[in-house]
Amino acid sequence: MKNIFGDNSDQDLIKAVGNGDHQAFEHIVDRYKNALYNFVYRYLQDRSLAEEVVQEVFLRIYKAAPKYKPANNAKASTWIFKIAFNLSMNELKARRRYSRLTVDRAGEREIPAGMQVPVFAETREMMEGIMSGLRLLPENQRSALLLRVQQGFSYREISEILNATVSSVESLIYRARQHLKQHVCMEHKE
Amino acid sequence: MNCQEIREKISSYMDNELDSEQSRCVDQELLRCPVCREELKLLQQVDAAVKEMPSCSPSAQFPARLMQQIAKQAALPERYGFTYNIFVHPVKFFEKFYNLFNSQRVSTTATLDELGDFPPCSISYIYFKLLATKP
Repeated sequence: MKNIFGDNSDQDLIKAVGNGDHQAFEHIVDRYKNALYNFVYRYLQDRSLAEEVVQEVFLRIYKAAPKYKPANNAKASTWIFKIAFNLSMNELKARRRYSRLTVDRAGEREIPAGMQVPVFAETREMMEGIMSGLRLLPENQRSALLLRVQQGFSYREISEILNATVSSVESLIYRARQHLKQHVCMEHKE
Repeated sequence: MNCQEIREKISSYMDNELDSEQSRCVDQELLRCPVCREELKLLQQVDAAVKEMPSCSPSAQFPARLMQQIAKQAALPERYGFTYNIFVHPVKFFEKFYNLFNSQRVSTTATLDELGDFPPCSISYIYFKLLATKP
């Protein structure tokens, strides 16, 4: 994984949280809140629900920190995203069981303040096509692609997070890219 | 590998997930085949757009709300472990069961003697009789 968080001390931070260090916990929250929120939001398509899930992720981290032991030298970020993925999946299943998933359409194409708006209409169209195409992808393809492209995880790390084999992760990412490419090309033709 | 197989490997090639032999094959094919080059270019554009998607962040109150939740959690009494939770209920049950018989241990057989003439099916009567005579 690319060192996007500057995180060679994640393990130390989690150990410190396990020893009751609140400042270390605040540091972890600060480090991961945006990345987790983006990932969960792209997965659930609902802002308030995404915030609840991210909160639950941090609560789980806090509770599990005293017993935390990285499996097979896995990075702490892999463990954190695995919690986020599992909770998101549970949430999605629960919502599907009781009601149809309501999509937060108000925010789906919203570009937050401070975010650079693409200058060229073509780029904007491409991005809008990508965003709508991403929503249409099956969840496992979407998660695999986002974990790879946005978070920079390796296929092996993604396989740990999604609880899948490396070859199926390879296939998921390949299919996700193909779907998005076709979706953007189709929108462009229209 | 033929052209189609190479094109299917371009995704992994972009992610540096191919071994050196496969990677070399893709390199050679990209030099040779314009269709594969176009495929790589399109997939790179898709990736760039995914990376540049507007990012969203949780509300400004999120950290404070989370810390509040953490404080609540910390204030809760410590929960016992898995093993305790498995055994606590059967142990409590047997404890009550034992106490039930132990507390009703009769020191004399006077009550039972009195009921000696009852037929065997009148066990419920005997039970309620014993219950009534319980101190």
